[in-house]
Amino acid sequence: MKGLGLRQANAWLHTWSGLLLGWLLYAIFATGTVSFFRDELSFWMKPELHASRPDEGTAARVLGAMADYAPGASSWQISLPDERNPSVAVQWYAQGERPSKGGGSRLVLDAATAQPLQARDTRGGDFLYRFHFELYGMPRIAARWIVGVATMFMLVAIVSGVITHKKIFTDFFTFRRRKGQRSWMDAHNALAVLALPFHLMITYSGLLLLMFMLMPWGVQSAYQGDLRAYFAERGGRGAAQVAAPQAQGRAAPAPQAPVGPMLAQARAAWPAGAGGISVMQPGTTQAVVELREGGSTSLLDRGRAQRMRFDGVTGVRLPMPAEPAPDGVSMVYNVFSSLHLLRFAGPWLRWLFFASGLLGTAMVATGLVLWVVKRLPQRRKQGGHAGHRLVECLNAATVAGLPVAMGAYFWANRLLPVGMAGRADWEITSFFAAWAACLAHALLRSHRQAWREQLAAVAVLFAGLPLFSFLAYPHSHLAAGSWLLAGVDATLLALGALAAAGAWTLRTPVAARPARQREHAAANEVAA
Amino acid sequence: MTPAGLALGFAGMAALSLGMDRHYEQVFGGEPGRCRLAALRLFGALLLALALEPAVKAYGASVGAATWAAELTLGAVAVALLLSYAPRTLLPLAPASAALAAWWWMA
Repeated sequence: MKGLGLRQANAWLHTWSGLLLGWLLYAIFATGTVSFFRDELSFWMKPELHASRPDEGTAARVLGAMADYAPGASSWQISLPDERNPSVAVQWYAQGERPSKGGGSRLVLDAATAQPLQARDTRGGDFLYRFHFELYGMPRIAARWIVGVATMFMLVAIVSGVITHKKIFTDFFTFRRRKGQRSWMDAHNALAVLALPFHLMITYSGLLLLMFMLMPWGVQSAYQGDLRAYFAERGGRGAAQVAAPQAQGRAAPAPQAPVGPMLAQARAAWPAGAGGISVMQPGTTQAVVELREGGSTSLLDRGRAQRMRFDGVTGVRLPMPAEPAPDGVSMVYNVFSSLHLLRFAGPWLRWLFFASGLLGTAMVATGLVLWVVKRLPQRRKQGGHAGHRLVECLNAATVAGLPVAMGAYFWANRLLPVGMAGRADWEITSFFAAWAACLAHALLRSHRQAWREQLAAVAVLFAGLPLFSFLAYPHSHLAAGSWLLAGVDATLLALGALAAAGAWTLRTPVAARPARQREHAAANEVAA
Repeated sequence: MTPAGLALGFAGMAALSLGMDRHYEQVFGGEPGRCRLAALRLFGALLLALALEPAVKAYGASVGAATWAAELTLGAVAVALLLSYAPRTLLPLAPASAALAAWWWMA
């Protein structure tokens, strides 16, 4: 880039790295933002669980029922209901089975009755969460590489964008409406600058989460390729849990101590109380009950929820081996990864991050639109241009098309027969079929029509979902006292309204339209 | 999220924006004096710093700092939108929001 000043060189870098990876980054940002509410969404997508209402006696009731569901198991794992998921998930391992993430037997229980609930087959929020960093239908590692490289370019785009920005402080609060390209520029700048701490943090922490794959050499050479040893030494992610006491000799059946007083001790020690219960050798003389802290109050000790242990028969608190405090490097890693994964957050901070994520998604979207708008005058003079037209199509099919695909995914979740074979896969098929249809639609229609019709589709799909839930599931709305479900529905309504507003502004005839949309219309004429 | 932190973030960002020529004229309609601009900016920065207190008190240092940053962002977005769509409403809203924050603080 000889001959260009620092600013122009960075502008060039920003424009082209942004365009090349913008569509992928938009998808990563959008699905990542939704993933802040992954648990809530998964719950929303399983109406069979909606009637579950936790109460004071839930833990004791579930432990009692476990003796029927899993007698003679070597251990029980119980995830207690919380504000993000009011149902109870249980898992148990048979004697001699090695505990593993995918192993054991599982059930989902109603918190009020401890009866098993049969939820529909769906990937729920997990599909969008996985898509956020592993895409879909391709080898995991390859996909993570693609996302990792895109994330690096995002960091490049953020830094070069800041350098390119001529008046970062003078224009800090500036958004000039109805000024065509100027407005898009202002919107892009404001969305980027006002949420810059979030953008930097989320991009950088995203890279850190992938760093052991992207830059493995340091750790590999220092630990001779033994990543496990590295993590164990760090005492953080993937480190061996404190070993469970081993059964000694034959354990005889024995009555168990009530769990209530144990939970009371947990409530006294931890702000959020206990989030999970493990019982080793349940129902025997050697039973040990372990409580895990629900949520976490600091960013520094990710993955190290506090634990308490009790003798299962006497209910006496047992000593826990002391865990070493995290060192400086681990703390930095923990802070960033906790911020990204938001494991610690209560509902309000989750909303704040969701809003910031929406700002980031909109920043990428406005950047993509800006590329088209900026080149319009030139294109108008020179006539049609295949590359320009392609960017227009991809813009509409990504920015408006991805929400259409999400809407199709949610509707498939509602409408596909519950007993259908391969149901979860069909939901995902609906997602990609709708997205592909959006791309075809954008290629067939003019630029403005594509935007308007796809935004209208988003509005209809999103706004229809709460209505459907209201009519189809009596437990699934605010009247039934579920703020969780009402929150999901209200968000869908709000996003639907936003899309409707977008479709509405693109409706007016050319003459009466403000400059910005006239340019859109002109683009169509050029393209047609 | 803390109501006091959000209100302080909004009021602080509003004061900061009014400490700039362009937005001062938009809202007050007159030529600003240099001293007044500087005072507004100082006041805005002070409010933003104060917004850290309720967040840290509610969530502890690390989670509180993250909450604070997100609250300031929302405050700034609200100010930017108001300046574009209804600049003069900042005049009653900003002091009201600061007063509300003071009230929550006392409570």
